Amino acid sequence: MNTRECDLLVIGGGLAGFAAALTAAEAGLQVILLEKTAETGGSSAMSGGCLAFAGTDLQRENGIDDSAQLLFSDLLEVGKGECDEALVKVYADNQLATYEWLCANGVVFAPVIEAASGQSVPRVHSVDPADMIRQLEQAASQSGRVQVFKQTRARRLLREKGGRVGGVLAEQAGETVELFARKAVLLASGGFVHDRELVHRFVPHYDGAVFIGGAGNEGDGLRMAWALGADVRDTAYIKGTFGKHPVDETNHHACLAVYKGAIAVNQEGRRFVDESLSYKLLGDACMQQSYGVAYQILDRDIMLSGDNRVRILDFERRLEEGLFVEADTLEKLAQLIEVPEQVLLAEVAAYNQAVNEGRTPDFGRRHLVHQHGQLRPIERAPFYAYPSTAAVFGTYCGLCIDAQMRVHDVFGEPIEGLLAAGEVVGGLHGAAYMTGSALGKAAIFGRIAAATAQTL
Amino acid sequence: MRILLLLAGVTDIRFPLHALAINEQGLIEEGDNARRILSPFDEAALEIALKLRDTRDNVQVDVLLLGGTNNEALLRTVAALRPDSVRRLDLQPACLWDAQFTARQIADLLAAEATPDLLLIGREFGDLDEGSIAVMLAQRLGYSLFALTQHAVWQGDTLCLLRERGTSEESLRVSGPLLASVTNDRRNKLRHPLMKNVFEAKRMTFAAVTASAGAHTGLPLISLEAERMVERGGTCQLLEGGIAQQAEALAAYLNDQRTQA
Repeated sequence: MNTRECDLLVIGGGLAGFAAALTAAEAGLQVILLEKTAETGGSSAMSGGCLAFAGTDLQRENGIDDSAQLLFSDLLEVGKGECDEALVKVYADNQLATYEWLCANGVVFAPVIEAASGQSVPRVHSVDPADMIRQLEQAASQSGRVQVFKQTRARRLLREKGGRVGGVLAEQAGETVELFARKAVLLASGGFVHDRELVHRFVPHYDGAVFIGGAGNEGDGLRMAWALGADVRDTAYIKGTFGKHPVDETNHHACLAVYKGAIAVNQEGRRFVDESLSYKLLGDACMQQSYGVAYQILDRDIMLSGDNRVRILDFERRLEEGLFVEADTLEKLAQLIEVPEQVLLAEVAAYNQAVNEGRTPDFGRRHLVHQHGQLRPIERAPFYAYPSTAAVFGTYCGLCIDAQMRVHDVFGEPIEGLLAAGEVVGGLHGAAYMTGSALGKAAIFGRIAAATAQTL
Repeated sequence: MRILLLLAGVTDIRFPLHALAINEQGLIEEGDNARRILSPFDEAALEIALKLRDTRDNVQVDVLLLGGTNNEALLRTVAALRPDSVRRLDLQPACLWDAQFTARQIADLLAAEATPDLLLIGREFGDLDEGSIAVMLAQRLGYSLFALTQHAVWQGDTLCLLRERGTSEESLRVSGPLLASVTNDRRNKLRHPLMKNVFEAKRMTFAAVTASAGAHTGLPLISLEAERMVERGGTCQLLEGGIAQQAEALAAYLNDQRTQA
C-alpha cells in the first residue's frame, strides 16, 4: 500500500482547506491536501462570493462605520442565541486579519460594499469566489510546501494506539493510500447538500427545495468524524436561502430584491413574512407556502436600485435573462403569475400606505434588511415579480469544535489530532445566517486550524 | 383565434448521445435513455403563441408534440406553460427523414380536425435543418407560408408576423389561414413556468393522436451511423501584463497571423 506523510493533512480543496494549507505552509509546515473531485474549489467556488468582514479599508472608503464588536453582536443576534459564543468571538477577533491576509495573497475585492442578511451596516465584501480559491491554491503551490492530490477521496480516519488521529485511509485511482499527519488531520470537506437522505433525516420539510453545492459535498468528513464519536450540532437549522428561481438552471445564486425594498407574496397573493429577516429565515418561511414558492414584487425604482457588482443584487442581468415577470400594471402582473388580482392589489396598497404613513407594515418589517435601510413604497410602473424558492447552498451545521478548531466528541472532549473548519463545522451560525459568514468562516477557521496544528 | 403548435423536441446534447439503430422495417429505433428537450425553435414558437394569448382573451393555444423517447417528460414541460391543450402526436410510421411523407401524414390528420387559424412550427421541426417539413405541410394544407418568423404582435385586432431579411424587417398582416415556421429571437425567449403549474403538470395525463398514411413508400433509409467526433485543435496563449501590454501583445499576434496568411 502506498503511504505518504506530512505535518498537516487537509481533507477538502475549498476555501477552508486552502486557507489552512497556505497558512500552515507559511509557518513552515509540510501539507498534503486531498480533493475528492477532479477540480478544487468545492462549494466555495460556486458561492455568491460574499464575505462578511468589519472595519476594513473598503468599508472606510465607502464611509461605513463598522467594528468587530458590532459584527460580533450582529452574529449573535442573527443566530438567535443558538450560536456558540466562543466561535462567534473567534470569528470577530480574527476576521480583519484574515481579510488583510486574503488581500495580501492576491484576492481582489469589489470596491462596492452592500448590506445583506443579518447586517446592521453594509459589510458584504464581494469576490469572484473561484478566482479567490485559484489565488490561494497558486500561492500554496508556490510555497513549495503544499501537495494537492485531486480525485483522492478520504474514506476513514486512522487512529494511533493512544487514540490520536494520525492519518487517513484514502482512495486514489482505484488504489488505497495511507496518508499520515505528524501534527493533525483537518476536515475541511464541506457539508452534505448532495446527500439528500442525510438532509431528509434532519429537515424532511426541505425535500422539495433546490440543492446546490460542490459535487463532493456528501458528508464524508462528518461521517468519518462520527465514526470516532464526534458530536454534531445545529442540524435542526439546516435552511435554504430564499431567492432562488425555482426552475431556472442557469443562475445558482439567490436574487434578493427584498433587501432593496421588494415584498414577498405567496401563490395566494399574500405577504407572509418580515422580508428584512435573514434569508435563511425567509427560506424557511417560503418552504411553508403553497408549492414552496413565493414572488418578490417590486417596481421600477427598486429594480433600478440593484447593483450588478453584487451577485445577489444583480437584478439587471436577471431581467435580461427573462427571469423577472414584467407588467405595466399590478393587475396584469397578478394575472401573469396567477395570483388573485384583488388580493395582490390590496396587499401592495396596505404595505404602501403603512410605508408612506411611517407605520410598520404587517409582520413587523422596519427596514430593508436587518437594521439597515428605509422602506420604500412599490408604486412606479413597470412592476416585476421574481419567482423564488429556497435553495440549500450549504448545510451550516456539523461537527462540534472549540475555539482552536479541535473536534470534540459526544462527551465534550477534544479528539486528539483531529481539527475541522469550514462548512463541516457547526456552532457559528446558530438558528440563522448572516450573508458572508459562511465563506468568512471558511477562511478564518481554516487559518486558525493551521495555527493550532503548529502548536501540536 | 386558434393557434396550433407543432413541436418536435431535439436530443439534449448536454448528455452522452443515446444509441440509434435501424430496425428490420427500416425505421429508426432509439435507446430508452434518450433525452429530448424542446429545441430553441420549438421554444420560440411556444413563446410567440403564449405572448399572443397573453394580450387577447379569444386566443386558444393547442399543442401537438411529436411522440418518441421521454415524451412524458416533454409533455409535462410544455403543459407547465399552460397551453389550452397538449396532445402527443404519434407518426405511424415515423419517417422524419422523409419530409414529403411526414408532411402528408400530418396534413391528413389536421384535415380531419378543426382548422387552426395559425399553425406555428419550429423551423427545424423533426430536426431537419432545411425546414422542408414546414414548407411541404403548408403546401399540402393549402396554407400560406411565412418562414423564419421571429416575432408576432397584435396591431389592433390584426395579427402581424415579423422577420428580418438582411438589414430590413418584414411585417406580414395575417388575413387567412397561415403556417409560420419560427426561428429564435431575443423577443421570443421562452418564459419559465410557474411552480404551481409545474406541480399541476406532474399530475396530468395526456391524450394522443395518430397520424398515419399507410405504409412508408417514400425514401428508404439504408444506414445510420454516429456522427464522427470533431477533433478540436488550436493553441491557447494567456496574455499577461497590464492592459497596454496585453493590447500590444494581441496586436503583434494578429499581425503575425496576417503575415503568415
